[in-house]
Amino acid sequence: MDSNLLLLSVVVAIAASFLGVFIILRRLALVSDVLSHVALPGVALALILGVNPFFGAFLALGAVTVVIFFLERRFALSIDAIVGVAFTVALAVGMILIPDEHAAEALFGDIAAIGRGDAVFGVALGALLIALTFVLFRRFAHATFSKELSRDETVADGRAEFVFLVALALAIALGIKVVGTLLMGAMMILPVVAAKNIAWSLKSMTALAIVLGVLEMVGGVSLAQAYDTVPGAAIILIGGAVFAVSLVSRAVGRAKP
Amino acid sequence: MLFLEVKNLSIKIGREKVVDNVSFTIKKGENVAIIGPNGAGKTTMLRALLGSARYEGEVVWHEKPIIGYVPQKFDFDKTVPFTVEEFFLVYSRKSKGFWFPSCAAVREIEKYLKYVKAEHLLKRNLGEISHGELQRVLIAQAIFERPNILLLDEPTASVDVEGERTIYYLVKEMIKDFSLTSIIISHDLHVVHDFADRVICLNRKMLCEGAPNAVLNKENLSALYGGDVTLYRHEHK
Repeated sequence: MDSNLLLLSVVVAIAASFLGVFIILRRLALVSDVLSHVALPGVALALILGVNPFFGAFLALGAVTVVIFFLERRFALSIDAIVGVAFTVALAVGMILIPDEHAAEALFGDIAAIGRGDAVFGVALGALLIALTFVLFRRFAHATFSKELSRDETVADGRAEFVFLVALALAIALGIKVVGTLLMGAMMILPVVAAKNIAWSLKSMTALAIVLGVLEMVGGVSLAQAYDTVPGAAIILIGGAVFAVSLVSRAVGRAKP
Repeated sequence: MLFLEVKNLSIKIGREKVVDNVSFTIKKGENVAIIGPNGAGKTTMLRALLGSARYEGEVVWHEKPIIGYVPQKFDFDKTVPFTVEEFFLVYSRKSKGFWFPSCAAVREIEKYLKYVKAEHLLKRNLGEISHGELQRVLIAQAIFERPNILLLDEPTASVDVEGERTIYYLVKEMIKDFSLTSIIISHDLHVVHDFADRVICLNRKMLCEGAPNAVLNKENLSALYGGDVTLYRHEHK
């Protein structure tokens, strides 16, 4: 595999599983999955206008996450209800707009179609997201774990939540070229749920999620190249298998006296 | 010396006024209990003092408050691995470095856990310890970083009777050892009697206020809770 693409997929995997920790902590597993589909109309518009689909995806995701953020606060709606509505509307718009010849690429990604410029940009953005999550980890955890202990820090927690949603939108947009809109959400949660099964602390869960995410990504991309199939699907299948193993190992671990 | 002054405090949730024009003061070192039926606005009022609920009126701190808070319930996903040590590191006011905490920071956490006899829980997961143990961890976390005021919202709501005594004993010791000012919400009138210098009766409006002996009488309690409520005194030795 081209070393640029390898680097890009590793960076995408690290950023996705790092942020994915908070998706799982917030019990938003399906929300992130669904959210990744919101990118579709953005990708479609970008393809029609001939601009980089990343920007289309990011703008669509950014707009929807910001709207969700304010709707959730203003109307006290639950986030899954709002995301459910936004997702179906976005998917409908995307299906109407997207040119047929690009449909498969938008849905499943096409790592081979990534140019050098895209790869460099993607690696830089991914590195930025990783650094941001590392630095703000404590703050994200604070805003996530318990609302009751928020004390007088609710303003800071609100800000952290906003930054988290924007980071999430960026990470999903980043992964769309590599694994596609359909599967980027899964890329963020599969390594994390597997890690959660075998971890003994939040730190170990995060570290394990990142290691598993990278292994699944590199394994999936290599497998897809060897057997000439879609990388996104191969990555998710490996992720599913790893999750099954983690589940068994947890059950065995629990069974021990 | 005056520590906290609350003037004409009103709080609305939606269109409903859950706290209505409440005023009181708290002196430094005083232990105040807030009593009242469910839905009386006790927790909401505490949240206003914490700065996490919008209110009308004034909350004036005469000294910068460093608040230690023990919530009524602490909801979290019990399946997430989150150790007691990580809990302290995430919820400390000043960052002690989450990824690589210093040895001094960990020793400090151990010191406070030891205080509530929970030092063995440092590396355990929050989701795996008992209610009583969790409550002790929450109390240790509340006094970590030396607050000057402690807010306790029914700290024993989810603990059995034996655990309840232990926890009140701990809290009492703590308040003495660290010379804290405290506000406690409790349903247990015996605890209020033992614990508080002053009682505030709240049912949206403030219905009574004063020393436990003066306030906890049949008329006030009936007005507050409705029906026939009497406090039977047990003598603790």
